[in-house]
Amino acid sequence: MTQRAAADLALIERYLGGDVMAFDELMHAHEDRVFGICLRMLRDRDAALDATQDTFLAVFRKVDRYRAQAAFSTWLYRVAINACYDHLRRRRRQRSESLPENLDSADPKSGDAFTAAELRPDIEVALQAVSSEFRAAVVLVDLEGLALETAADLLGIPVGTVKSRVFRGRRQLAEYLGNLRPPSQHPRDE
Amino acid sequence: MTMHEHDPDTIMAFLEGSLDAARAAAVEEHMETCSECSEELRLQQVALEVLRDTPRVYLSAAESAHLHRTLHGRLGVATAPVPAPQKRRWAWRGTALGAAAVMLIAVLLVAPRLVLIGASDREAEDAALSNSAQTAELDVPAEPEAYDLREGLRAEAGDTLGSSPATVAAGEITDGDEEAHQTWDLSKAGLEELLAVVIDAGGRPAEVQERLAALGFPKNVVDTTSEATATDTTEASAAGSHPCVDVGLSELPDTVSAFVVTGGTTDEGEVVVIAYVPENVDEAVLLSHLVESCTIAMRVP
Repeated sequence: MTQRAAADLALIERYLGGDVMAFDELMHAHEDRVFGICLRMLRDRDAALDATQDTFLAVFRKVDRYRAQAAFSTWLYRVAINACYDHLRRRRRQRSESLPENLDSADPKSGDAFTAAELRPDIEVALQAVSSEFRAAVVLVDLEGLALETAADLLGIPVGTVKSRVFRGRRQLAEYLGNLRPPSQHPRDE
Repeated sequence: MTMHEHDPDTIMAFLEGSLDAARAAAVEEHMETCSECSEELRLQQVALEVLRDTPRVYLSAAESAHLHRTLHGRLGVATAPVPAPQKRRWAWRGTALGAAAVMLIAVLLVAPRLVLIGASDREAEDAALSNSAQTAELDVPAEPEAYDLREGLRAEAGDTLGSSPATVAAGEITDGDEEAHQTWDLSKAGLEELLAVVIDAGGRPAEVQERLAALGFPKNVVDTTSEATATDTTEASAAGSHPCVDVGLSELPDTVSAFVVTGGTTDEGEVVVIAYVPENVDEAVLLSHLVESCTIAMRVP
């Protein structure tokens, strides 16, 4: 067990024992990373805050059932990814209700994600062009620096599948960025 | 070599540099003749470069406080005094540590060879130091009050030596030809107080030095790490020693965009470090390793 995992376990025990400060310490230890995952997944800061809140709410409501079979952080990040998927599903439903059918919310050009950054897309914008499953793998492995095995455990898929998703996610990201560059900077003929 | 079309495993391993020389050479050779694989490699490289240059994101202090308050309410947790720290942890991704051209990172290394008081309880000391260095979250007051470091340390030493000697250390600082002896508190509280001094000085290194000097520290204490180089950082990290110690110092910046305060155990003993991050330093990724290990960091308000 890592030092962080042991510290988390101790904090959970303190929290369950009624120590309010342990609650805050546990949150402080993980909130930035949870928020980072949510922001990369959702791009929208408010939505990321909502997802972060949902994540901690879900986890703390069930923390008494935590048995330390996996690291607390793994459990927490898994909940965060699922919270993001929930937000994305809700967003898709809302857009399908409010937008004309010929506008695909997966197309960044169709949504508000692709406005001011159009001429110089940043990574957050570009990530939205990557399908959510691939994006989750890229965010966890390439942006959050998790090991493939940890990401696999967290996502509940084999390591090989994580590798494949990271690979394909990177490709989508690069293609998206490449398509927005002037032709002279984009040697690929498409 | 035989390489399957768009073989992800091989391309990823090639990018990671985890192939042996023979296989890597074979892949390079294959790339020269296979446009599909070379294009795949190019796309992967583009994505990796972009991802590696992407900074981490953080909650603002206000967002964090709001999150805590909301969850307290929704979970029915009795409300504890949630700090509204000015601090933010500051980190860069650690993948470009090998960058050759490294701008400066000025380090104030206090007490490079600390001798612990009450060394009989070594385990407790290590635990306290480890706690300071790795888990401390600074709840910095919005407007730090002036702190009499010497008086504070003296008072704390009086309190802690009787109960927990681990939190107080005696340091030896070389000041030119003279040796000044100083005590330094390596507990979380001590580091917070040191950070408060830095904040109060607006993060301006010259003023920080001045204030620390006024508090009894030698003026040239900053120069104690001048022999270290940025290269040392990478080497020291690779060797597994504490990376906070070996960050190079060439000159002090006039202003800084961030700084790191930490304490920790090294082969040399226990140290307290303040690392300044100059503004507009593209090579700030160098600090990633430092900040990854030193959890106490913040932007200058």
